[in-house]
Amino acid sequence: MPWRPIWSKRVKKTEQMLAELAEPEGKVVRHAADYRVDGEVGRFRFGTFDVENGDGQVLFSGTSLFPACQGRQWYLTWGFKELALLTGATQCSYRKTADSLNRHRRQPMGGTPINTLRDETEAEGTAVLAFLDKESGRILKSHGFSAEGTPLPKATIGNAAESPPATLSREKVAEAWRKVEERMHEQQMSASHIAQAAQQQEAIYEDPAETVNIHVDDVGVKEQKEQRGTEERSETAGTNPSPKEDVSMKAERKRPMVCNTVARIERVGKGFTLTGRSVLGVLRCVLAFLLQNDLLRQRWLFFTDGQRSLQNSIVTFFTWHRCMSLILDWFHVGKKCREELSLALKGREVRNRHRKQIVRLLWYGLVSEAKEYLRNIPPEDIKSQPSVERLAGYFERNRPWLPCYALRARLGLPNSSNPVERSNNLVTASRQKKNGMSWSEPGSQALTALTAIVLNGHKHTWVRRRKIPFAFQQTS
Amino acid sequence: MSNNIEVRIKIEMKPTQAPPTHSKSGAERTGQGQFRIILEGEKSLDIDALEDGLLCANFPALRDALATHLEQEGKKNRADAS
Repeated sequence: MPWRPIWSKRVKKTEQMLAELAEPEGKVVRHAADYRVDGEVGRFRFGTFDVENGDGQVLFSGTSLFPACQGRQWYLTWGFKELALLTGATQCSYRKTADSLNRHRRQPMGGTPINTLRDETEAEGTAVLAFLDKESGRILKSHGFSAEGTPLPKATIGNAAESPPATLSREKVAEAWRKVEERMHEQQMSASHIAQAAQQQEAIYEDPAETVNIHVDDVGVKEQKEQRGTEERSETAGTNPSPKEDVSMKAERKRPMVCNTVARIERVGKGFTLTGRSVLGVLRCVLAFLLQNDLLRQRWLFFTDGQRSLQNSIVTFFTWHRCMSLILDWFHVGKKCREELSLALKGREVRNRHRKQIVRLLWYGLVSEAKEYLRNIPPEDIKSQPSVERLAGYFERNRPWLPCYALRARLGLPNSSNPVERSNNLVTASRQKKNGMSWSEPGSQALTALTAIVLNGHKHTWVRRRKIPFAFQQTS
Repeated sequence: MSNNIEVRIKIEMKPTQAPPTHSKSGAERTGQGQFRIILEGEKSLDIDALEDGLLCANFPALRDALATHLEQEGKKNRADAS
């Protein structure tokens, strides 16, 4: 199919116009408003011509030869979209982008205004999100899934009789275990701990060639206030709150955030980034992407930072998939231990001593032993028992998602949700999380969606064909 | 007193029977400072294709004009100095 069949239709319309002109009563009149174009060459307008009959009735409208624009809308050319919206606004502030654009086009006066650029970027990003939503719906439907992503009876999701995706051989796991065991001996871990950790050899260690790693995370940016409020200032005017009061007031008035959900799907040497307004919306797109790439029979391994709602959503959404599992990011496990133990224990020295032991146990997947260790911390070291209980609860809740990180690392398998943290930085944080910046929900989400297109290398296809191929991009 | 420099540019868009330029080869040099690109007839109302075509022909012409001018001026100055 040709890319722009619409143009040949327009040529036919020109022929139609000429035929109208041939009519003795037809009169050519200039259209009241000029057609406006914002392009890579600059902003310009040109007149279009209508054909009217003797009664002033328009027989043919000249604007119909060009893409439809409403009211005072400017037609944005492909070049403009690539340059201003996808390359410019996703990387720099709107002010800098508009300045640089108008400078390059030698149009310091009458060039694209900042607010227009912002509105156009937002509209483009919203169109991307709408496309992802619609395309996901289409793919899900064509694979026998409901619009929400639930498999319908006609869906072919595989059955227990089919052979599961390959795992690493027992020999390879045993070989890696011997090295882990040596390390445990070096660290003078007890025989019982080593014996307990040895059982981790029985767990499933995925073959990277038959596994899709899916990293999901939320990234928040400061939400713009409806109005620049003077209330807060006037409330506190004349009073000087104590530092303690100040901290509690700040906590109460916690700044609302705009949330973007980002998913990074990776296979050996390939990747794709998806963004969206909500966790469920993104999971739906992830499912559509996996179906489109015929990855239903692969192992799906999700990596998260431990956010409870995120984990619950993933587990609930993909519960029907027989080879799906979840791994808690190792960095966040360590972070959680550090934070909770800071609250729970007396002093830095005590905290670090106990934390080292707990983290070491968790590195070898010894969750029960870590809980046991927590229970046996001497009462004189404890500052807050609820914090200790909270950490124990965290271990218990995440027990299925805490593997033997040491063995996985030795096998060369991933333990981290770092790819999505990196994507978060690239698609949202580097542009939107800067001093003094705040965003409206549609503005932030639209910009994130546009940046993801650039990251996936689909800028050209989106601008020209208004499509985003659900296909991996080579990363190495 | 040295002469001033007049910059003159004329861009023509006219019908032709010549075959369209291959999209990857870019603008074709047809003479000193002259470049051309031939677009398919059906794109006569395609704003995007026309803009792209103009930019593809424009930049090589600008580079060529600038390079030629500088080369000639350099040669002239050198001749003056010697």
